[in-house]
Amino acid sequence: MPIDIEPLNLEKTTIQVLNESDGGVLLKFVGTIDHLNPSEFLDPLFDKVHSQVLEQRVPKVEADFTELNFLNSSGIKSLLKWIMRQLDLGEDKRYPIKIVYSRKITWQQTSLKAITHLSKGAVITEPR
Amino acid sequence: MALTTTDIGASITFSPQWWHLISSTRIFMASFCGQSFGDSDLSDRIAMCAHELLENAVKYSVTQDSPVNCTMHIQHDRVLVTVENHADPSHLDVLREEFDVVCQGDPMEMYINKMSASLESDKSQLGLARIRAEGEAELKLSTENGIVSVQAIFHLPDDLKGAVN
Repeated sequence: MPIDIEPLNLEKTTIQVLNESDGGVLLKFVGTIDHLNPSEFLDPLFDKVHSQVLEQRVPKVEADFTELNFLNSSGIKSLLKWIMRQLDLGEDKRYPIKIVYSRKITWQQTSLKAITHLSKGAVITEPR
Repeated sequence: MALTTTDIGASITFSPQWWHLISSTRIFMASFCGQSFGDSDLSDRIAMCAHELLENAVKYSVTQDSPVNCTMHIQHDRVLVTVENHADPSHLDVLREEFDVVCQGDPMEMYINKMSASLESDKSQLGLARIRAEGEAELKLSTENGIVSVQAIFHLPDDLKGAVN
């Protein structure tokens, strides 16, 4: 069964959760995330993704940041929390996350690399 | 740090109530530096630092009526971004301690350490470490009469030295 999560449409931010033809799930981030408390919308979204991916045994998740021009440090923390939840799961339950980032957007090169380092193999990155 | 009429740079002062002016300032700084240096990586780094410093200044201002100032000052071999606010006195010691920790060691290692520590905290507290690691900036803190000034210093590469002055 595909996962069913409503897209998030805010003034400067769109996040879509799409079912891919190969059974995977794609999270597509567009715009900027520079809100005072981005955890108010990011944490519930990541919670839903996490629980539905586990329930539906989704084999892989891709998070595409290539069109997210800015993410503030509070947003980075929300992303980090989601990714690090992998490490609380047994190895048989983990779902691989691929982070797709842009070589042209400075914040993605450093901050996403740091998150990947912390994730101890739970995340792989792909530049575009 | 105030600008004089012969300095090259920009300055904006606003009330902490106006959160959206933080992103307006970031976008302006990126555009100003992009036009000045023709280097999108440098302009993104400067703009990100202005944003993170302003977020901290707005969050920890003593009242919603005390203005926050952000000044960018372009010198021959460096760019200075200075953010000033009237800080909550109870936050000053916390900020000094945070500075002492964040400004130690390898910037990327510290950023990763702060990320790890943030998972145990209600707050992100990543901004200063991010400025050092991602912004590749040196940080300075000073306080006087309740006004906190945090400065990020960007050393320009040889090919950009004197490019604007």
